[in-house]
Amino acid sequence: METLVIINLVLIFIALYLFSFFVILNIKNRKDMLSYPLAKNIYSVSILIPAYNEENSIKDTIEHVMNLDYPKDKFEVIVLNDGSTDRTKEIVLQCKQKYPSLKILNKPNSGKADSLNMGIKLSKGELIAVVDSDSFPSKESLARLTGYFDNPEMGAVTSFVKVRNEEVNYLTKIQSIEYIIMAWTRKLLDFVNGVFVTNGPLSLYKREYLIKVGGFDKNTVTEDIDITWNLLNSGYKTAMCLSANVTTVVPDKLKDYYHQRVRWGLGGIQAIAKYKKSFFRNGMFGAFIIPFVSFSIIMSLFVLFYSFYISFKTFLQNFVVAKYSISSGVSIFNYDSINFYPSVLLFYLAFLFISSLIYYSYLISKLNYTKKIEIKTFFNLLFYLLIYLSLYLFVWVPAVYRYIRKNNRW
Amino acid sequence: MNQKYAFLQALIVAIVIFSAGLFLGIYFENLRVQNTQDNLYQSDIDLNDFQAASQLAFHSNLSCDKITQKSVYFADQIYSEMIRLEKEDSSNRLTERFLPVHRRYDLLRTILWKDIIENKALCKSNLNTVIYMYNYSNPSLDLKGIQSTISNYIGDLKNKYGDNIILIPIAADTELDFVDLMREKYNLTTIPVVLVNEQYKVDNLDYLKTIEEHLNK
Repeated sequence: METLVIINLVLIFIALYLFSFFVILNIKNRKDMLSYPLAKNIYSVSILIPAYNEENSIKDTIEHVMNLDYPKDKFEVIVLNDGSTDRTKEIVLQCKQKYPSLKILNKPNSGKADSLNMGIKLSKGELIAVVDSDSFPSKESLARLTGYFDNPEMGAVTSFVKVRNEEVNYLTKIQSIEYIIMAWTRKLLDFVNGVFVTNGPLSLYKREYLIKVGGFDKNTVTEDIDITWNLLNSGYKTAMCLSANVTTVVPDKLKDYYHQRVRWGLGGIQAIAKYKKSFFRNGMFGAFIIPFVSFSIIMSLFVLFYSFYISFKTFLQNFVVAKYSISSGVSIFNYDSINFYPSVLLFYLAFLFISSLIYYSYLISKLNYTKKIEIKTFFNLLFYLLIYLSLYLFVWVPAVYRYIRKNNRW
Repeated sequence: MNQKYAFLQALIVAIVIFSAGLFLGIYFENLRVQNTQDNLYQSDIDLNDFQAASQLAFHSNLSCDKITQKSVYFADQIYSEMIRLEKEDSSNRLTERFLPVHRRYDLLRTILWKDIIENKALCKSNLNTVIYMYNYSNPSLDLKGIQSTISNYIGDLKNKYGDNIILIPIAADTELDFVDLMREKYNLTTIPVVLVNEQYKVDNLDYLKTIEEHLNK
């Protein structure tokens, strides 16, 4: 067997394993996907809203947070104005007139992680909720997250982020599908204690544990990944609640999207480097999460370079044929050269593709509470699987490059 | 704890699906080989039939036309089988059972070539033979390019001249003594090479288009 065939078979096996893993988790926990524990205690919660130049959305975020279905005497809201140069401060002060309990911390710009750490110091709640200033939590979301903290080991719980601006353009539509798939797979990982990111739009942390682990790291570009890993590394648990929803806006311009994803990629690499000593230690964190994330990155890079190699080889082959054909005055293309006999490897890929398509259609309909998936969504899903995921591989190259160059800008 | 078994269960499921795919793949590939072998068996019979018919025709003054027509038909059949064989061979990834079949086809084509040479001499036929000797095992990128160009050209020639050309591609490096002897006989030292009517040799792309000039029209 040729080396390339062996490489293909290994990649196919890995993909089959991961797919089977998620499907098995889904089957085992199909009844618990949307369930959440009801809180035995009513915890006091401090909601931190870090904001930097968010004049367009901060008012609505505050409105949503202030109107959460949670006992009013049990939560406080602190807006952390991180040296905004627009009207953010003014708008928050206007909101304060409507909601006198609203607190605001105006501070010079020092980044999100630092703002959150200051917020933790100011806060009084047993639990700390972090809400991005462009995100709108649903009314019941906070109450649904608190029940997880009846488990004394629980360090952080995250929510289901939905895309609010999905109708803006095709890029936002595809991201909307991606967010659904991300949320679903994150929930599945929850069943094996494998939630490795608590997202920025809405996550709830135990204040005591946050302080114990030293708060948010200012030296990383994704403080949400880092704090989750830090909590896991210290032996605390993380969870995900699919029934706690929050909406957010995703980048609608390719440039912004690219920067965001490179930053996420860089954050992942930084986390692996920071916690590399925990590889195969510290329970599920070292045995599964770090290897899983590291392996995903390595595989993405490998598949990218491997695809490049195959494409380049095919291109070169065609180029040589074209060169010789043109110089000899011979037709470049001959009908007989078309091969209608597909390799069996293609059947594997077809199986994986069709299975993924069916599975993702199922989960999208499940989370949209519909029986069938819309035709439009189905085609978007096709695009997501065929094009989007392939293009996404490119993000890893600049992410690795930025890591090597120690470029930590947002 | 129940959840932790998911890792192992997924491994078992993946192994089962992967193995099933592998077995199915090998089965399909073997099926292709089997089909090719069936065709080969049929071609073997056709070759024997052709040889016997030729012998009879020469010894009993029967019409040469019928034999010539049969040789064209038979060569075309083997040519299309060869194209299919090449495609199936390049699609087969898991097994390597095509090599013996390929060798048998090469031998069969070379025997056919020899018979056609004899027929042409005896019947004083104007039929054109275009023999294309190429490299089968792991040609370099450059050589692949050259061979594809020649293949395309002679394929176009065949389409243009139809029954006036007998096109016989033969892999020159499958270690067949008979093929080696024919190469020696016609001094075909370089590969790839095209031999037109056992006289005109082209082993350089610059002269590819001159092949047409050397065909009997």
